[in-house]
Amino acid sequence: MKYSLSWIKQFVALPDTLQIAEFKEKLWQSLSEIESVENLAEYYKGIVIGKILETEKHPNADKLTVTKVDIGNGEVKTVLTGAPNVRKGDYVPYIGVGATVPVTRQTTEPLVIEPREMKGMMSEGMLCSKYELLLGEDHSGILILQEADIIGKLEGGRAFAEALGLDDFMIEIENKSMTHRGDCFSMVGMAREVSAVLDIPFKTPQWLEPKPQQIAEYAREFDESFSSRIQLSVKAKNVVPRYSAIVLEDIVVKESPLWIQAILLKHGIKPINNVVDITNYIMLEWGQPMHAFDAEKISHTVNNDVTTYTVNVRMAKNGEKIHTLDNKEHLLDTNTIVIADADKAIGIAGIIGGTNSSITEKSKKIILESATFDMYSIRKSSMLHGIFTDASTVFSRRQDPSKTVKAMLRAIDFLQLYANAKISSPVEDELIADISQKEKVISAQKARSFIGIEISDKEMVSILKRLHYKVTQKGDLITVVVPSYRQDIEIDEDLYEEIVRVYGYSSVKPTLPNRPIYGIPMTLPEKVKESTASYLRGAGFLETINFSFISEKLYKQAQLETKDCYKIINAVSPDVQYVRKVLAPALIEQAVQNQYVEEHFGLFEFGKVLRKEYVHGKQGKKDMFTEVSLYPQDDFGLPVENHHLGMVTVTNAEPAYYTLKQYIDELLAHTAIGDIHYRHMSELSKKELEVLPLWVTEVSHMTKGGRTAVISSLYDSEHHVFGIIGEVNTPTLRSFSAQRNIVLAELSMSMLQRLYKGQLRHREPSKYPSMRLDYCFELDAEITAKQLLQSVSGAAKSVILNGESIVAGIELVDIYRVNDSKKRMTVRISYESQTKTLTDKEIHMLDKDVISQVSAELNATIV
Amino acid sequence: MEKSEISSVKKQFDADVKKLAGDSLSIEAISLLRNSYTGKDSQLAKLFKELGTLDSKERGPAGKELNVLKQHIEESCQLLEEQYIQHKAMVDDEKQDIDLTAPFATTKESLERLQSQGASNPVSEEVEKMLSIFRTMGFHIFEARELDTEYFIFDSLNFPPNHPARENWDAFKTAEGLVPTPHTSNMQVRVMRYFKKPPVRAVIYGRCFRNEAVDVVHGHTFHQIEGLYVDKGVSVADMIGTIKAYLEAFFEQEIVWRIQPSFFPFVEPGIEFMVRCIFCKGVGCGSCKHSGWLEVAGAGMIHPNVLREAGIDPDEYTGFAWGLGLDRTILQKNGIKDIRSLFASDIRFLRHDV
Repeated sequence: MKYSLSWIKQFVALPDTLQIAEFKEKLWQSLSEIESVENLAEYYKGIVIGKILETEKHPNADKLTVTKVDIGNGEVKTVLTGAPNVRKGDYVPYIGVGATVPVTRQTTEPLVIEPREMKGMMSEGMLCSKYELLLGEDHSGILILQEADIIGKLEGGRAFAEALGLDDFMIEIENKSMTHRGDCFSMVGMAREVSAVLDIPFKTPQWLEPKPQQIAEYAREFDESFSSRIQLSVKAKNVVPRYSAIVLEDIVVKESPLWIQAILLKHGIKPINNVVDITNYIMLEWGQPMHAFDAEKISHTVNNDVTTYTVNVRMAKNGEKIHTLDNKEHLLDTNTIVIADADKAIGIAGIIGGTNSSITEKSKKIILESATFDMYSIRKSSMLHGIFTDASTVFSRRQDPSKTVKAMLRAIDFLQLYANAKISSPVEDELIADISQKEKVISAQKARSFIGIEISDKEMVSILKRLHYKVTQKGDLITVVVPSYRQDIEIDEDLYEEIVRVYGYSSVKPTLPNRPIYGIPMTLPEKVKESTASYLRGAGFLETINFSFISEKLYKQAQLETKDCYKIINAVSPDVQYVRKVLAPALIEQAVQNQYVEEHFGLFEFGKVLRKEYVHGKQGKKDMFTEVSLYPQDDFGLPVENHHLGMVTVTNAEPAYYTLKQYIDELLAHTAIGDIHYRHMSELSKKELEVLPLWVTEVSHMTKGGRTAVISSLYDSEHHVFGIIGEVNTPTLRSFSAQRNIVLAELSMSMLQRLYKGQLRHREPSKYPSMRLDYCFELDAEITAKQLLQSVSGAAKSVILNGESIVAGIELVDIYRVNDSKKRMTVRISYESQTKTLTDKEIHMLDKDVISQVSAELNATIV
Repeated sequence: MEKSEISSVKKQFDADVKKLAGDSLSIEAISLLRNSYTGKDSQLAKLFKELGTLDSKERGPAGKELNVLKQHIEESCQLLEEQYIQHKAMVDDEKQDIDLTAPFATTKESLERLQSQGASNPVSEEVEKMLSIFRTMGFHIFEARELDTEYFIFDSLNFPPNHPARENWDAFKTAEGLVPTPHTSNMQVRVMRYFKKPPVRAVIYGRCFRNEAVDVVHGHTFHQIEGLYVDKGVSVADMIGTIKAYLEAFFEQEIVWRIQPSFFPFVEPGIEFMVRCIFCKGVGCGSCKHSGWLEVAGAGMIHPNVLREAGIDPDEYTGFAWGLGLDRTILQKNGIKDIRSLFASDIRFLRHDV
């Protein structure tokens, strides 16, 4: 909303010394953010009203007129114009040399007036049309000013801006900063705020508080002095707090005086005609939108020279149609309030009028409506039909029902003055809402402790009075009568806010709450995440983040379907289509995007994945991997948000698999997760496949079947699957145009948490040296490293010297493929004793058994 | 040249193609096939040569036919190659040719290791930093849900249905009516209920989503962190003091602050907490849009209706909440202009600039 400073000044006598910057600052601190302040006078610098002293034809050009223009202070300029409509004695806007044509100011080439030769004669300045002055589209001729068009006297030399009220500052505040302040959607409301904030009295004009008898006069019972009456019926009582209307006759519809048009234009409203402009003027001034219907187009009956008009305020019928002033047809339903006559809807209440009842130049008789509507209902209809008007903006904030008739009287005054209106009917007024003023009692002590400041009762009372509350005090209790226009004041805290914002937040001394502080330990998920991240960082991985949303295309590229993803139905952005259910595809995409940046790199990501199958409180058999909510009751029935860890390495190595696998081994060791198994899909039992998490299966669709391992940890003799690793398969690499080998892994963080054994320990080293020996076994090609290591560690349990187990570590150090059926693997065993230095002889006594046990178990031979 | 000559070449070629399909397919075989039909000494080349000897009337149609045949051979060979690659990929991809359990293919030393320094994402870095400050201030940490109900996002936070303030949160929606949360306050009522009764000292962090078109300064996804404090006798002054203490720890310097009234339905009063620009010290720079001030946090005293919704008696307890967006701060700190860099994950961005 834009506010006119000069309009505000009509209600608050701002001192001339007040700078606009200071004004802005004060309002800013106590009310709201100010979007911008625009000095309109800048636009009209160097433009004055000129009086045409004489006109003559240009001797060398038929189409040019030479004028002598009196621009005040005895100065007369010769101005040449191509416009045909200038006559001697006319008053016209004159732009002097050196000034800029307003309409060009915001363009890339502002037009600055210079003395100009035209067919042998000099022109010093320019006469303007409405268009050049930003006052409309009309540029068919020079704007000829009449006395009624301007504020004050029409005379040559007056600054044009001042004569039309354009010497003004326009202050813009975003609507959303004042959602709660319906009263501030008007000059009167803002002026009241300014008065409170700057502590300058608010001057109440007579029309703002008309005397009760004046209202009674208009709203009296029907008598013979009237020729019309309104048969009003408000059926939608729960969403229409008040509806008032009157019939006016003898109306002359024409253009409004230019100064009214100028005011509307300053606020961004297009002038239409005097009747519509006046309703808009009152809306700006007082925040009361009004609507004028052409009475003759509304169903009526005539009886004894009295015309009775039917006006119904009701909910629309399902399927009811209306063609509105925005030239659109709207299909209505029972959620929308309409104004209707006996037969048809004539307007969407509070939003827009129907074309079937609109004012035209021929209209003579109007029904003027002034009403309030339920803010939620108006917003809902506005959103539903996509109609956003100035009226709907105002009505979407709570408006004061007590002003409908008062504002109507103000409009009638204007219509009488500028549209020849005569009263034809009494004011019909149906008041449904309670408009008695609210009284609130607050405790001064409570207010003080809520805000946390030392402020005297007296000061609080004085602040509230500044804000136009009627205030009385008795002991600790302050009674506040809330003006009806402050519809936002509901709870005590609202009044505390009133006090602190005028007191000044900057005067509040910051304090800290009394409660002592104690340290907060990390939770298990935090610990596991932290430990994982710090390991991966240290290992050289870069952490990426990806959107929680994915496109169908991305998943297709990764051989995935989107059918079990949550679908976003209203996205502006084309990539936002679904909520992700696995991390891997986006990681592949990022790996590919970076494939030429570095030879070899690794990425990881922590992220949440959702899928329709996993819902809190409704566990299925595949849900053992899903997370448990901290808020089981609140999250019941909501999607489970599972935390995953995704990793990729990009490499030229072949096989690529181990470039990532090595880090997963280390990561799991780092988080103390033991007995890890990497198994091919075909090694999983039928029972395991049945409960395999869906995302594991899905990731396997984008990896090479032969080089993909399901990762599990074995405890209580059961495999707990928590991840998958594999080389990205050929179709996926091709669909992403990947030129490098990519290995990816995805792990469940909640499973890692379950398996997490706590912080790694350090152990006391032996005081004696340890010994390492390598054992090379030749085995069948199918024997895996895991099998060998398991066998060795099983056998190593029997390596006991004097009751002490001396095997301190077992490690695979070399794999050598002999031929298609045989391979050799070298195992390094470290030996260590806490009591003595070990000798070769002692070890060889013991490792003989290990070798023979392994050889027997795996059909191996020691080399 | 006879028409039948051309069609017999085609026939022969098609038969050869059929023979090649299946296991005998290889790149060499395809290239051999192509050569024998289009090479210098091929039947086709011979026919092209003969074209010159034809009279002008016949030359046109015959040339056309020859070209069609040549194209057919080319396309068929390409198709064969495509088939071969796909087939080979399928077979190769399924080949169980490595030991999945082994730590490496041959030796540890032969294994390729990542060479450069790793790094956290700047977002996680910032979140971690903030959370560790909160821990020292006695706040428990919670992560926000990403997909939530209108109840937790709006209704429980004192937004009446159809309230115009809902417009300020341009929210996404799923087909089921769930909403990717536009703010981390969706956790407020949950977290307060979790504590059962005050004191509540909690911090909530997470992703938020707004239905916006993406450009240099707007993203549809961003990160928020918010503090929540409920106890007996908590005041506006306590709110200001706590936010100030927190921000000073975060910015690692004393701050100059100011407050502007603001409106959020879930607080009363609501404020915007501003800090004199820490980059230009208030002189005016790109980070503060030349205003000298950074809007760092939206805050307010928790609305009694929200406390009530969480089962806390507002006559006995008061509280405050404040939330900050991280993304802009991260951009400012790193001197990055394009907000899209955060999610683009260009590794030149992710690596620390040293």
